[in-house]
Amino acid sequence: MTNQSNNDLYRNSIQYVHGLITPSSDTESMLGTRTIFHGIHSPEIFTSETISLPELGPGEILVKVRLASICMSDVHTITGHRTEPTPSVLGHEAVVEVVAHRRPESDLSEGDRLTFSVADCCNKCEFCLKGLNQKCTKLFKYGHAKLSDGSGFNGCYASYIILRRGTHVVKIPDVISDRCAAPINCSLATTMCAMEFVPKIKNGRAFVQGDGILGLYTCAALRELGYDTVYCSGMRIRRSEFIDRFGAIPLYNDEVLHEETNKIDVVVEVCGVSAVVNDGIRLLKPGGLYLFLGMVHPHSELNITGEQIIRKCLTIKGVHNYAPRHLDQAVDFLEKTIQKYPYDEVIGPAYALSDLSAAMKLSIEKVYSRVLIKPNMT
Amino acid sequence: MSGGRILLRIFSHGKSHISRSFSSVQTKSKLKTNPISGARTVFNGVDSKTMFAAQNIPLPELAPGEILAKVRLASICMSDVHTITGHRIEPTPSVLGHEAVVEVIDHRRPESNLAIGDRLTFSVADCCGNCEFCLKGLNQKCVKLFKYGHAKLSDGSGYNGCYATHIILRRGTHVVKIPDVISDRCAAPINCSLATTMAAMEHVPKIKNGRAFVQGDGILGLYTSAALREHGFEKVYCSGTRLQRSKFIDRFGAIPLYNDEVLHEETNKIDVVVEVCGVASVVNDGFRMLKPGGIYLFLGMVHPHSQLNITGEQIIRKCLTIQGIHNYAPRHLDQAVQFLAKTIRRYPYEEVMGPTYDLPDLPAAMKLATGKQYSRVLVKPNMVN
Repeated sequence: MTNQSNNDLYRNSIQYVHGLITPSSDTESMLGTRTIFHGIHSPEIFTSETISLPELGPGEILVKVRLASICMSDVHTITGHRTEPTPSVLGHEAVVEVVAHRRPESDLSEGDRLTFSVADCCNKCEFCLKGLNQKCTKLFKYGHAKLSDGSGFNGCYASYIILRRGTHVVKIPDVISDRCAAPINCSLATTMCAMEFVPKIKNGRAFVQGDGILGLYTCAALRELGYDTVYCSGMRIRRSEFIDRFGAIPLYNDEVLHEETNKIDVVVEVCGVSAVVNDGIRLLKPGGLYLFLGMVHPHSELNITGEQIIRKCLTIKGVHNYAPRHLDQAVDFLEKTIQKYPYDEVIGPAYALSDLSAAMKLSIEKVYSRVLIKPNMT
Repeated sequence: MSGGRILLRIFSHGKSHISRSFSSVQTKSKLKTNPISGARTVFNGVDSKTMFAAQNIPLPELAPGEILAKVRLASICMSDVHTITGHRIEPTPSVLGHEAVVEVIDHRRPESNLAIGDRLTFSVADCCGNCEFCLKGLNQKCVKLFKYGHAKLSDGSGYNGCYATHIILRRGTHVVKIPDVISDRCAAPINCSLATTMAAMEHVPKIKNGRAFVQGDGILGLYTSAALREHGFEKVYCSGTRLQRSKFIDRFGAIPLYNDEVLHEETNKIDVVVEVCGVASVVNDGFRMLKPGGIYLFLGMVHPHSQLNITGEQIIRKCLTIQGIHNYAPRHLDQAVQFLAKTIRRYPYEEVMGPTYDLPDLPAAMKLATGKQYSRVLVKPNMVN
């Protein structure tokens, strides 16, 4: 695999082909289709191309994308609220299937369904060694990388993705369907990362601010940890109807729970709106914990005082992405609770790769927890 | 209002006269009076005609679990300075002062090993020991919290603060004996400054080649610098203001900086930042310096003018932890005494302390404390050996 041959192909052939691949054990003769994002100011925001897949490097895995899900961060990228390097292939949440691999020491087989870490890391820098792999000094993130970085098959809105040698993968048990598996490697793994900071508290009370997929997963995770009262505040749209089925007491975002002032052990911000923080601080009891996950964008000014944090001896913890162990925890958690929560029902319809724009549009409406992309016949 | 002007508006000093206006502050009649009389300096509030008034009244009889102690040496905490300059509101009338080394005169704790003459430090927070917060080790947030130096005269014995000859320690108050190797001057600040530092250190991980930044060079900053060095942190910066006390920073194990110095080379490289200066605007610089996964301890800015100018994104992207520390729990008092006994020769604890004033000269002592020339200014209410 060379970058040189990739670039030649890119320049020479841009075709619309819907994922027709000639099955072959020689990956070099295989073709992959990818949807390229050029940036919101480009005359064509998305283009599709079909090119030969490069040869695998040592440690790499060629996988077919079985089902991808559209993370809200991608929606923010295509609506201009977020800037990513371009041109790139977006999409970082997916369940994939092994086609070929160069990890002889592993137990991977062709046909294995996998989830994979969004962060490809070096495993030996200071951050990897202390278990904060998502801040690796040589960090690479699928769905967030230029085409020219590595194989170019770097994102999930494509028929194939090439997983690099530093990418942790976990097999998906049969009991987990593709629809449930797709969001594991961003939403659910990030939830597991957040849960690492949550203490087991007898009769624990929690408040989850946000009812998107992160909010619903967090509610379930808190209940499974033993929290007996979990509130979840959301907006007046369709997805909110699942809150109680994920174990939480639904509230709308203008409801103020006065009776819980100073009584909540853990508040989790998963809505991306900094204005909720004052209410979170009000709710927290002395010694309580506030997890910040959602507001990873510049318009997240906090309107709080140091006094509020000090007087209540509060802990505020920022959670961004996750480390390899959280991917394993996510799969275990989902397998264990797959019958207990309506994971499948909150997921929306699946679109073909060529209908990515329509799929994105539906995502923006936030009617479903996730909208899916199915790039291949599988 | 300037601190100096307020301090001038005080003080009638009546050892032998108790004017009629003070009769309402006699302790409750259910307590039998004691032949011993104590002197206490009562704070009446910033807007009062007589901000400080001295009283001599008999000490009440001890209730079960209580300890009658003589105040050997008290130190003036900056929070008291903020109270008398009007930046902070405390209930009045009250006896201020909560940092002191004391000596047992009498006690009703038969199960303890206390003896008359023992030098003690004591927990500022008197707590119940069985509420949710006490049980999880956050005693300073006890539902029945009582704080010495922060309580009205009418609350309990009225001998509730350290600017007095005596103090009555309540049954829920943890006490720790002071080893002989620790002088009174070094012992006085244990039960606020040093114990709070220990509470903060509980959140600091042991990090190989750890780097820390302490924002503030008051007594909390100096103690924190020493504690971080003892914890194994090999590089500790301490930023201060251009005053006399700053010259001790390096002798407490830290690299001194002035508060307008920006260490660009440490951007994203600091494991732990500690705010002990009370100024919210330092937080942005603290965030800049913290490395991903780092921890920020907030101790100093326990006042309303502590508006933070930060975004949630800054906290999330670097996976930062912010931990608020307010006061401490009983175990931290023990840790403070142990820490001080172990390191008493290593750091110039005695030298950073300022002069000692008599109780009637409390206003002058407060004035000197306001100037921040010394880490602590002392008050000695009794003749002691």
